[in-house]
Amino acid sequence: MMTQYLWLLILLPPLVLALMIPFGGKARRLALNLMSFAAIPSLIMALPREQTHETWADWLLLGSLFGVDHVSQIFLLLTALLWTVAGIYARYYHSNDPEKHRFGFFFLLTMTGNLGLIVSMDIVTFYTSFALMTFSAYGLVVHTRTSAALRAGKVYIVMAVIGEGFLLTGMIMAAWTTGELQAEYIRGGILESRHSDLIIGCLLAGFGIKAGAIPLHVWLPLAHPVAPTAASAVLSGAMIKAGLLGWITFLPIGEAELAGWGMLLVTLSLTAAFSGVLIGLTQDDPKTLLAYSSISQMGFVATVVAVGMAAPRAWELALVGCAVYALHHGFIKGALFLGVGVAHEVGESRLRQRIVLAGLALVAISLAGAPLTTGALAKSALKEGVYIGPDGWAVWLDWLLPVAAIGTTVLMGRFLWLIWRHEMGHVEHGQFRGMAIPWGLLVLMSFPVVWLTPVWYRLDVSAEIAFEAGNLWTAAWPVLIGGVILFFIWWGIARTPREIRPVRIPAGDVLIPLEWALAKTRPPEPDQVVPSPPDPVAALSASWYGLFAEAQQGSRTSRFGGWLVRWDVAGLFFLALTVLLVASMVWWQ
Amino acid sequence: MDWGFWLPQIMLFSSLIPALAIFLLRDEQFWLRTSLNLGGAGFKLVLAGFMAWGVLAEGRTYEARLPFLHDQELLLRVEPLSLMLVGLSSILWFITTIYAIGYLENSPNRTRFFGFFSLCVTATIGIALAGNLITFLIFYEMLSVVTYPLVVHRGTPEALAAGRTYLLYTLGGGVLLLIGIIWLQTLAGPVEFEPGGSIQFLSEDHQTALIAIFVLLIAGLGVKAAIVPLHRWLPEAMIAPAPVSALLHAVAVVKAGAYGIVRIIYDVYGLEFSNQLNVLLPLALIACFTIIYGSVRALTEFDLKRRLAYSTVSQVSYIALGAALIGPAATVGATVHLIHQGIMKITLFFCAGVFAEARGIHDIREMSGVGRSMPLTMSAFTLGAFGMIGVPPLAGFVSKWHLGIGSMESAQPWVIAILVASSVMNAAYFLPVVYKGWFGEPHEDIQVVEAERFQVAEAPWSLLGPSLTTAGLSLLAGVLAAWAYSPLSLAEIVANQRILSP
Repeated sequence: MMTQYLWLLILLPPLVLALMIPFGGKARRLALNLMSFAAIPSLIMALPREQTHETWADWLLLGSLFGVDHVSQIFLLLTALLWTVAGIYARYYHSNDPEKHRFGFFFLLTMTGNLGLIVSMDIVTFYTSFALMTFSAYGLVVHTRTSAALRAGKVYIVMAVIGEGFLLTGMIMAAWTTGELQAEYIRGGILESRHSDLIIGCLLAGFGIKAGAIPLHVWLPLAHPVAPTAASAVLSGAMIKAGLLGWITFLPIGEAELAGWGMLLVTLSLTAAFSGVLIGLTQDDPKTLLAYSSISQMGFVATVVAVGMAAPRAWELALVGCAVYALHHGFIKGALFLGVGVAHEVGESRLRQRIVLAGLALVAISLAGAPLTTGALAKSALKEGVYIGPDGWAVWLDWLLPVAAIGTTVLMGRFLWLIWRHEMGHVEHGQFRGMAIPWGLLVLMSFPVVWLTPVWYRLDVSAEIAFEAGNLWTAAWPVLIGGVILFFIWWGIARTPREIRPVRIPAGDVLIPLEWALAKTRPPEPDQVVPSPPDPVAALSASWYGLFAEAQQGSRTSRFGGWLVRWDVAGLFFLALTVLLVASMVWWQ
Repeated sequence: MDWGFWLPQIMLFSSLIPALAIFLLRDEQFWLRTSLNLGGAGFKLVLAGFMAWGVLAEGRTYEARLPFLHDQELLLRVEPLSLMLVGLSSILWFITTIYAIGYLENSPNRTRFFGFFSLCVTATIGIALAGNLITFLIFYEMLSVVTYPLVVHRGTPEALAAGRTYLLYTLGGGVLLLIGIIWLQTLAGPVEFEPGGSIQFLSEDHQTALIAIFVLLIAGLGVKAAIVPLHRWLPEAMIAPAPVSALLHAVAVVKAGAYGIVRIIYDVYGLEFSNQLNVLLPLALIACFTIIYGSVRALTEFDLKRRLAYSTVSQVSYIALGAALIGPAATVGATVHLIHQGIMKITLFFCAGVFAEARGIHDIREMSGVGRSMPLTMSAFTLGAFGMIGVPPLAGFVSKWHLGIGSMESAQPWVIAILVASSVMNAAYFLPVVYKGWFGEPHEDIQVVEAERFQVAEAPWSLLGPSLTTAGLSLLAGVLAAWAYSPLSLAEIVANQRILSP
């Protein structure tokens, strides 16, 4: 049977192309030319089909099972499409890069791993693909060889190894308990183990590192931005979802009530949803800001995973919601990252600047969840599960998630402002067309694809719900409030004659004190050429000291405008608003 | 002709005869010596393949009993477990011979080297085929002695000092083993290796004596297996030429110790009986300590070969650990690691040798950017390193997975923590090397003292080919682990024999 080998079509093209690159010469040129098309077969496999096949490769690894189910098919669609677009984009982005073959090699290997883990239905093949993706992505992170990239790479690889350790522990214990390697048996079997809590904890942490779950997120705001833009897009759009897919494939969510784990995860996820916004607001680099936004957005999804943990009855709906949200976020975040690169190419042309800004604004409000965007659909899909979730949670989440959406709106406003003020006006590679066209395609494609996915794949989410009057309003008000906040900030800026140095939280946030402590305890190797990171204590103390210093300065000049111009104050304002809303909820109950 | 009787003996003579012939040659007789070497190695490889086919496909057992002392006999037997070490040493001997020819041609005393090299393999094959304790002991002692000239081959004061340490330790271990075996034989008479154990009938009267004998035997074997605190000689012995280190760490000496431990636990005492004697948990604890200690020491070494040596200390104890856990998966893990550790570690030592020969690199800190000028060597090294860490789909992962499952089976889940800690530490001492090689900036002043010797840009193919072959084997052993003729499948046959038999 030919169908037996269909899964090879997914893995072989990127793998073979990657292995052609080291040979140099013609093989290398061919591989780099075909790089953009390596994920096309996967894309075809991801198209909706009447029935899905499972294929048993009994000679591979410890016996591999390949196939897709209705959820992983959506992940495959997202991943294949995003890698294809990023591949086309990368060709132009790296057209003058003397090291482009290195980039292509790691890009293709990472792609193999990322696609492979989606189609593997047993724990060993999944882990193998996951490891391939994780270790190959290191090459993408450090591609530029700047000191920032090397530092990010170091943090990345340390966290990756720790993650692999967690996964190995959890997976061995889970596999022993069930005596099987297939995901469907593992999921149920974990609960029968005496060590079920340990297994769940290990898998949660191991995959959580990839998904940017707090407090394991520290590598993410360092690594996602320093990678070349095409790699940032797939890191934040597709690979971050591998952690999510690991959770929903192997954790026994929906099998039994895991109230404690649900509570823990929802606390961490909401923390991530909010702190991602808060810290993101203090960033100057738009790509770092986007990385923090990814932490925040994955917090949204993880909240719903937590709902499924605490209330198995909600999982069937919540799972679909997670998949749709992952699809939406993947496209939008990919488009935002690629857009940053495009913005660097616009040069002096006003027309180009406006087109790019309009495109970015479109995806930015989608991320915020404005009505009629993909975000609105994804959010309503996400909330379906919440309503039948654990008792008492719905009331809270129904308030907290929109508040986080306010934050996302402000964050996206800040993003657009940064792009407009600081990132445009010069030409980096001179490849505007080559980069703008795939980016534009992604922007335009994201809307119909996300809208039509529920129809194509016959999901339990109807696209109409997002059009209902009530839902339109639900989607609109957080964006409106965010818009009002943005307006006040803009008004403040317009009235303030000069820039004020605001609070800056260095990327990596909680990592900084840790890194400093480690540097104090361990003398560096004698010849170590690792670039020293910016003195973390100085950075941190300067930033907090700056908070007060600036406040005093502000009081001397235009107090009100001086305060409002600052994005950290916007963050504080947002925080205060959250506290207020939560307080009112408590009072109301 | 009775193949069962002759085949194991031909196997031994296929390296013994070339060894003796080589001693008669002069250093300059390159072609004759090389033909003898490769001819013997190739012939042995064919024989091993033939025996593997006979044992695995036809279910045969080849056995040769030769009268020795009055009631003792020399027993050579081919069954799945011995086939593992026979297969490993035949394949790796062939590959290492090619490597050694490339590495040592033009250096003095080649005749002595290749003669003892072949004797060393003869001893290893003898250990693999040994079907009773006395045969095992004879070849085990022979291995200690014939390896000494290889360790001190360079003849420098350091090499001689290392050789002294080596002899002191291994001969001391040999004495312990001898005492243990004599003691056991006075109680039990001649002891043959039987899957599932052969001395349970003594359990009534001699509990304490048997425990003491177990300690003696394991201590004697533990010296070669480099179990802490008997490991001191191993990092010293890495002064030997690269092909010797490679063979020493992968197939011959260290592996002989580990193989002996496997034999003692499974085929002399038997897993259940050893468990009744309460000797397995202490052994598991010592093995775990060795795993961690070796890794910690490896972290502090900057000399590439020393780091690899401590890594061996750590990795070989996986075998002892697996043997000390009760459960089929642990047995699979222990026996399959006999092969996996061999192919991965030999890759790393081959590469270390290539770095030293082609670029004069001995220290990790000199490796910056070496991947640019030596991509093939660095690729092989990377595969070996990732295998050691236990990253799938490489061979090391398969071992680690089964050891982990085995630790759950024997209700010792804490062992997983040791395995994972070892993985993380392996990553901590291998990834910086891989990083430096691929991503570091090349030093302008890399020592290229010996590099002029080579006409090829990177290194001669006689050195590169073996490194790439064993690296490919480490990859295939993991990727095709479920295949019917993979090391894993062989290990499963071995484990089934030992768990199911009464």
